[in-house]
Amino acid sequence: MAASRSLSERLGKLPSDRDGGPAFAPKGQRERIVAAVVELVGERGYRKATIEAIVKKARVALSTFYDHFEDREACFLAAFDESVEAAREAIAAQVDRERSWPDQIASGLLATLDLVAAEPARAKLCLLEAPAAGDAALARYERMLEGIAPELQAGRELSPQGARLPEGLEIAVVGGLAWSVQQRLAEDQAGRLPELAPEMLQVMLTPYLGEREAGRVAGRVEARAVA
Amino acid sequence: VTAAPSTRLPAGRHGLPREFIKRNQRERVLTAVVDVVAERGYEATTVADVIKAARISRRTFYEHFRDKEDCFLAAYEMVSDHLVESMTAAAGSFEDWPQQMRAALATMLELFATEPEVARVCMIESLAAGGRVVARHRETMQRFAELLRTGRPRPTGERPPPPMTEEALVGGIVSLIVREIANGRTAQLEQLLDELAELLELPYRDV
Repeated sequence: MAASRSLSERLGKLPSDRDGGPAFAPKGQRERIVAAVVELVGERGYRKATIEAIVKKARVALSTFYDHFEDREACFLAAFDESVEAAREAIAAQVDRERSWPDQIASGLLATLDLVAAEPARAKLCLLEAPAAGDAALARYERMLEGIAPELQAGRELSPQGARLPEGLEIAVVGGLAWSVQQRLAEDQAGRLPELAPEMLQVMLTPYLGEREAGRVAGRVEARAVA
Repeated sequence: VTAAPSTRLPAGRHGLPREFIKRNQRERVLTAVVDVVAERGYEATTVADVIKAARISRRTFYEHFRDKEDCFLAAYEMVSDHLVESMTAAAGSFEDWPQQMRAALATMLELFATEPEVARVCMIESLAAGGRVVARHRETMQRFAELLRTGRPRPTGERPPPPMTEEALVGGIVSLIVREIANGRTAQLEQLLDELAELLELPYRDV
C-alpha cells in the first residue's frame, strides 16, 4: 500500500531523470549531451564522435556522461530515438487526415524535407549514420522505415493493381527515398531537398497511381511551390 | 570468402617468382579482411585480426597497405568490381531491358546468398567504414543507377519519370536486400528475385 510507505521510501522510488539518470542531476545535462552527440555526428560522423569530444562539447564531466548513458552507442541510440520521435510528431502535425491520399503523402514529404533541410545534423544522425552505426542502430533504422510504410500502403486502395503490387513495395519506396536524401546529406546539399519535393513525390506515387497520374500530382505540388 | 586455390601457398620455401608471391599475399589479405569484417564489423576489426587471419607478418601487411581503411577499401573494390562485372556479363546475354535487369539481379542475389561475407561487406560494412569506402560505395550505386537509366523504357505520359527515379530504385532495392541481411536471411536472398524484378518495372508502367 503506497500510502503507508515512508516519505524517504517514496522519494527513493521517484522517477529520476528520463532514462534512469541521477535523481538530482542538474537539469539539462542529459539534453546537453544529446545535443552534443547530434552536432558531432553531423560534423564528423558517428565513428569519430568520441565520448571525449561529446563531454567536451556538452561541457559535462566524463562521470556525468556515464551517469546518463552506459556507453557511446547508448547515447547515439537515445539521440536517434528522440530525434525520430520529435520528427514523427512534427511531420504528423503537417498532415491533414481529411485530405486525399496523394495530398497526405505530399504534405508528409514536404514536411520531412523541410525538417531535414532545417536540421541537417539531426538528419545525418538518423538517416546517414544510423544505418552505419552497428546492428542495434541499423535495426532501429529499419524499424523507422517500417513505421513509414503503412502510410504508403493506403495507396494500394487507389491502385487498380492493389494487392498484386509486390509485397516489399512500400519498404522499397521509403528506402529509395531515404537513399536519395542520404546522397544529398552526404554532399552537404540538404538545403536543396525541398526543391526536389515534386520529383520525389512523383517517384513515390508512380507505382500506385501510374506514370500519368503521379506526374499530374507532382505538377500540382510544383505549381504550388512556385506560386 | 573462399580463397581461390592459387592463393594458398605451401609453407616454407617455394621458389615462386617474387611478383607472384606479392600479388598472392595481397589477395590473401583482401580475402581475410572481407571475412574478418563480415564477422566482427569494421569498427571492431583490427589490423592484428587481419594479419592473423591472412597468416602473414605485420611487415608484409604494411608493405601492401597503409592502414585498416586502405586495406578495406581495396577489398571493397575487389568485391564490388567482381559484382559489377558478373552482373554486366549476365545482362549481356539478353536483348531486352527487363530480361537484362532480371539477369543482373539474379546474379547479384546468387552471389550474396552463396557468399554472405561479400553481401555484408558490400551492403552494410561499406557504410560503417565511412570515409573513402562509403564514397566508393556511393559511386558503385550511382553506376547501377546510370545503367538503369540508359535502358529505361520510353515514357508514355507528358511528364516522364524524373531523373531521380533510378537513384531511388537502386536505393529501394538496396533497402530490401539490407533488410534481409540484417534479419539473418542472406542465404534466402534469391527468393527476392521476382519481387525485385517487378519493382524495377513499376516506375515506367502506366495503370
